[in-house]
Amino acid sequence: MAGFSISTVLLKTGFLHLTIGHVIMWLIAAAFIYLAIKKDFEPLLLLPIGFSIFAVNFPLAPLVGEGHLFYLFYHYGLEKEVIPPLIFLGVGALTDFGPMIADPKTLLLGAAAQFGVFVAFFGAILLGFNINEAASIGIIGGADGPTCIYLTTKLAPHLLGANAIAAYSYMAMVPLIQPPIIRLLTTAKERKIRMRQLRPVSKIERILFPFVGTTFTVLIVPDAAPLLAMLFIGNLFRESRVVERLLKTSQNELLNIVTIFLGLAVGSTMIADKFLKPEPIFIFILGLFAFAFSTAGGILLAKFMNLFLKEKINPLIGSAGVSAVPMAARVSQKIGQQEDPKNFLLMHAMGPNVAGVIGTATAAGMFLAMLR
Amino acid sequence: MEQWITVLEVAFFGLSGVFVALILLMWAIKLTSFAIRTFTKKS
Repeated sequence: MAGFSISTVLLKTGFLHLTIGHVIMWLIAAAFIYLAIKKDFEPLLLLPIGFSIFAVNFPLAPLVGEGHLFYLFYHYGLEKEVIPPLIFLGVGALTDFGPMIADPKTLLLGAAAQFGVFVAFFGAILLGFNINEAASIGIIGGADGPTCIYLTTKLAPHLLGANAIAAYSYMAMVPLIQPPIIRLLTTAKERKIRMRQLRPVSKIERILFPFVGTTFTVLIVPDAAPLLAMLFIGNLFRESRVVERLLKTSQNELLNIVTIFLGLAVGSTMIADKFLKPEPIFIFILGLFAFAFSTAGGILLAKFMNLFLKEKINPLIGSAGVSAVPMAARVSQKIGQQEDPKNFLLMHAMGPNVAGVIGTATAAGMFLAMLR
Repeated sequence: MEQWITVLEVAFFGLSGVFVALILLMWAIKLTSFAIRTFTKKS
């Protein structure tokens, strides 16, 4: 029988292994939990991420080592690519692509809003990140959490925690980040432009769209198939109107379940000795740049298109090309109504907004095709 | 220098790929809508 003494028992507790790094991570976790509860910043993600950071930063706790609980969430959920595509299924089931089908040129704005992704990619290289890390940081500019997580897990898994937190934080801060950029790049006259009401989209168009969408995106960027195929399957559930149970499950229970696992898995990567380095600070700065340039890219392309279009488009809808759905579209609507209270831009802005989701997934697929 | 060439290639082909994919999707949606309107037009 093994002999026990007070010292051997003490060594088995966490107290003697506690470091200042663990305490700092608890404070970071507390900040996320505070933002989630008090400020309502992406609470569905930041709350589980925050508590996961808190829990995994207890010394000796069997949570993140190989075979342990949170490791299993991470391994099967993220490394094995399960969670982000399932979230895309839910997003597809929740998304109305009607405004984009009614006005397909808004897809161009969704593409232009990926500009920031590539600006941040350059910025990250200049700051000393390697090319795979730079791509995973750049994708933060797409403002699409699941895509950012998907790409980072494949190209730079050690940056997962910082990238995911940056992506979701900036998505929550869309109403703070975008308005100054929008005002800087547009005139009051441009912000007052009224757009003609969108045409109604028939049921057959809506049902065919998932097939058309899958064909033309997956043929060009096969690496984006796990995300885009699931997005379009979810949308087919929605538009077919014959699988109400599957639709509701995709929109609610399944999405909620995978969101819990996603939060815990992402938080579990933020362990003191891996996270407390200068890189996360650079990632937050680059993420902000990416976001700002993506917003600018959408607005500037809208202004450029107006040089050729008979019916002008309000450049405010260009800023909605970042895929934070529907917050970016709401920002366009709000700023438009500050100039002209009778101008309703929300549905017009939803076009580039949902196109941005496809654009960001496509950008991620392009990075994967070239770098993996 | 070689690294920068790779970086430029990735950025160029990456952004071009996004535009090509979404422009093709745009035309595919337009064509689908046109075809549906044409074939379902009441005579």
